[in-house]
Amino acid sequence: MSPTMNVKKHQYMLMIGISIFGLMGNSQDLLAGDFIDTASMKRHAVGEPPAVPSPLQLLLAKPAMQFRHDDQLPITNGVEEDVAKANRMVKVMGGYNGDGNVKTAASQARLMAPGIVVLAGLRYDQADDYDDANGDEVTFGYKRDTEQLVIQWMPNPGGKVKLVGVRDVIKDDLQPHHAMDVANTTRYVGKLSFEQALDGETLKGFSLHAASKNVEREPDNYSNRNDGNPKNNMRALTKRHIVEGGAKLKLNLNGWQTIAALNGGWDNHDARRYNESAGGLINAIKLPDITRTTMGLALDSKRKFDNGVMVQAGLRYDYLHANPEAVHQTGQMKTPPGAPAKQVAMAKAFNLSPAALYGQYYGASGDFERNDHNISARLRLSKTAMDKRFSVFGDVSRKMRSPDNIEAYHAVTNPNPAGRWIGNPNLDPEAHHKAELGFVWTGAHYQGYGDLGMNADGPFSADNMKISLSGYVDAVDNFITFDRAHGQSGIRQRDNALIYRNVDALFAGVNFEARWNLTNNWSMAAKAAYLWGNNESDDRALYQIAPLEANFLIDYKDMLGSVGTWNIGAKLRLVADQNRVDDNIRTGLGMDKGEGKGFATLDAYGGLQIGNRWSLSAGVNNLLNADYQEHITGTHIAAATKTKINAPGRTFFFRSQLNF
Amino acid sequence: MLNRRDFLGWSGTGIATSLVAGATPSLLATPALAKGMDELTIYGPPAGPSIALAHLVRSGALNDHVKKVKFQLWRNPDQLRAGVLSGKMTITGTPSYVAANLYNRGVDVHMGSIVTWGLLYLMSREGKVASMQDLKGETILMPFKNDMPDLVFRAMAAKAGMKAGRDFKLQYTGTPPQAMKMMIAGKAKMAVLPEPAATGAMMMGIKNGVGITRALDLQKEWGRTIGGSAKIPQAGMMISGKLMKERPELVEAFNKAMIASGRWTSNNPASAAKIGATYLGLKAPIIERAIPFSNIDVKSGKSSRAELERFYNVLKGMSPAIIGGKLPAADFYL
Repeated sequence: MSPTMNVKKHQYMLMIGISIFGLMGNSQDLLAGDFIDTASMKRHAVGEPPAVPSPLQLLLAKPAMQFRHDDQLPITNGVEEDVAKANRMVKVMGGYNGDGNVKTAASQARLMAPGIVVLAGLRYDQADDYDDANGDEVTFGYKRDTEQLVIQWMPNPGGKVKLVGVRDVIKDDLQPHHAMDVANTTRYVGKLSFEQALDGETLKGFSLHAASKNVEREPDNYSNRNDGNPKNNMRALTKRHIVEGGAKLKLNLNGWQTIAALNGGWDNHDARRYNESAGGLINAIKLPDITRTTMGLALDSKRKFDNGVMVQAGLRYDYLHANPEAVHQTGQMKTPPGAPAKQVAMAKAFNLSPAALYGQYYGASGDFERNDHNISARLRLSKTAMDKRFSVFGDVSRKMRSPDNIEAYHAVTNPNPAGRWIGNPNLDPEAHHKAELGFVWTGAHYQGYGDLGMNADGPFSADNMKISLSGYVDAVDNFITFDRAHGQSGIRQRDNALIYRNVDALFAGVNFEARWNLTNNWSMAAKAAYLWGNNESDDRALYQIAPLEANFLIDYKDMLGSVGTWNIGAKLRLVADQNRVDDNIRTGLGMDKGEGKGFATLDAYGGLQIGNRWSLSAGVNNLLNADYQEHITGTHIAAATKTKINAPGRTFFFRSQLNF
Repeated sequence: MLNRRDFLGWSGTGIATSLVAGATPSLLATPALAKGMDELTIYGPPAGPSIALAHLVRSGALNDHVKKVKFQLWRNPDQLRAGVLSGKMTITGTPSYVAANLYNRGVDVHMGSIVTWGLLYLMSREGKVASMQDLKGETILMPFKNDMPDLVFRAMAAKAGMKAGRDFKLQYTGTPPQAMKMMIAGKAKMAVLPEPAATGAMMMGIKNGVGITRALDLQKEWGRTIGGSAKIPQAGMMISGKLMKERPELVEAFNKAMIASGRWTSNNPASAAKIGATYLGLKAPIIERAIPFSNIDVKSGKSSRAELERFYNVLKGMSPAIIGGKLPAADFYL
């Protein structure tokens, strides 16, 4: 054998690293998000419990903090990530973050066997009062424990069964901006999916999935605060159970990669408010035992052409049936014989049924069931050029969203009309007509933030950067707006109660992001977002629109001899004033508490890791001790009022990861 | 309060900071650059040991000697041979027997260091085996007939008193991925695979519900059957004689830096795998798992001479042409 042949074979053998990985990757993306994502559309300015960290982020996610939102461009995890994501069986994490005085401990274990991967994790966060920039204590706190279990079974080549179980419990989540704290939020989520890749000429794969979600929330105004009025102890209890499932087919139709999907769901949602001072009597049928059944059919297809053009088009039909069972149930407030007329009137007001309230405010009657047939569509065109480094895209869509249970059926009554919050069964689904244009530049040497490709030119080469810019306009017909009853069209009262109605609205936004690896050590990033929203029907600014914001990161990382790596970085966050607000309860909604005041914060951070086994990260949040409040604040709970809460002043954090 | 004018002003400050920071590294680096050569390209195979090379380049270890250090993969053997013969490849990663072959054919090259002390494993669907003797009656997939792993495997078997064809059967495949696929598909129970293919086979087995075991560490078997330590000096750095003569200080700095980079790679498999993904186009999770089994421990050519000669002698005994027919002379080892 000639030496040339020897070298050739051996070299080929060394190259197997490349071909092996080609064999490994056969992801079908069948469980990824939908092209027309109507199922994930939410009402504007929604308040809800904080998201559960994904298993991949369990050890790295920042603790929930609803009075400081710095997640537009989060600080980098730095070298800590190499310990948290290392190939080790057991990982543990502990840390402290002064933003909310949060102490955190977490661990994760992974077992791998042929055909099976098991990942189990748990995390505990305990938050407490914190100091604002003036040194004043801000009421804050929660105790949260999260448990996760993921079992993945690969029964055959290209097949994958995945079972996910999550329990997330948040106790005593204090809401200083609201009338109640959330004493308990308990969520159980179970998901089962199966996906199978196939080698058929037309049929390329299929997937099936099912999920069950249970949520229980229990806010009250007495167990975590003392308002000095023991006769006014109120408690609410919300229970929700969702069962959903679906199937997808992946097809190749003459070069068009096509996904056909069918989804269905059953959702029961019930909530009551209780007067605990009156022996736990019901005084509001908050959500009248609503059962929603949904069905969705979707078809989307995409094709890449040789000239760099990609076309993706989709059509979706959503059906919704909602049935509020308990609309005629009333509160249980009683008055003794001979009680004063005022007391009787109060009890009567608390005992209004949802049906009575819907009729009073909207003239609605009947069984209040709704049947929606929503048609959505989307078309996206993109074109790559310059060796795929430059991509320009245009995206037009019409997406429809039916009112959620709060918008359609919420029925919180109160003797004082301004304290009422009444859903509107007459609402039409809102229809978003969105057009977006943008471009993305990804330099040939840009491999990711902090990851410069080999043999890059000097720091100012465009090939070291990734830049994206997009702008969009979203004209919404029948936008479901939160409002106050001022006798508007379709609204029969002028008593300032909280109501929902359809209006036309217009949103426009611009998003810019640039990431730049100057050298192998230095990286920088900038991100800016601007959103404009207007209630066109009433010609007024929309409520809870985030102000113009820009974030800048600068990071440095280096080797720590032959034992590890280290990094340092800083983040500058700039938030402009928000002058376009809806802050007048008499003429509008009044949800915004005045104009938003701009601010600037600076964070500094660093970390080191040794042997991919141990890491220590630390830093200072709000280094310059800026005194500020977020304009969008208090997002953990659905609330009609948004009292602004001072953000934390200068605080520090540290976190350590260890693996075995 | 941050009105729009202030906001834009601050944003400008942020951008200016970026530009200053962008300029800083090149400005700071300028004085040191003047001393060395303008550019040096280090070459390596598209495989695990090149991760240490990539680290060396990234760490800036040669900044005092070279203005710009580049890293390039050689993609095929003709590139390697042509590059070395033309003098373009002055420093390159290479299988150790290739360096000996080129030296014995009169090319002015030296073995600067050994980077990996063996990447070969017997992988099995049926659990571990204690020694070569346990392979009696088995069929083993072997990529590339008469190449180094085949020769080494047969030499070890011979020392254990076994012969291919008589005591076990070798089924040759065109490539290691082919062997992997056949084993996963159940067409054979065992295969000899180098890293990272060995780890790749295990991962592929997990994905496909097939248990693949690292049945026999051929480095340990080498020590047991051939003698010496449980190390096969499989791949290292080849240095051109011309560079040695013209820039001995650079070669010395390179050899020193390689030792540190090898240590860093072994100590930080997850971080190294990220570099591997960027520079070599390999998947990080497999590289991370393969590094602990890649026996990366950089030793100078001179200090590796005894192990190399033992290795070359075995290869020569099986197929003299593979190393050019004889052992390299003493000046081959740096």
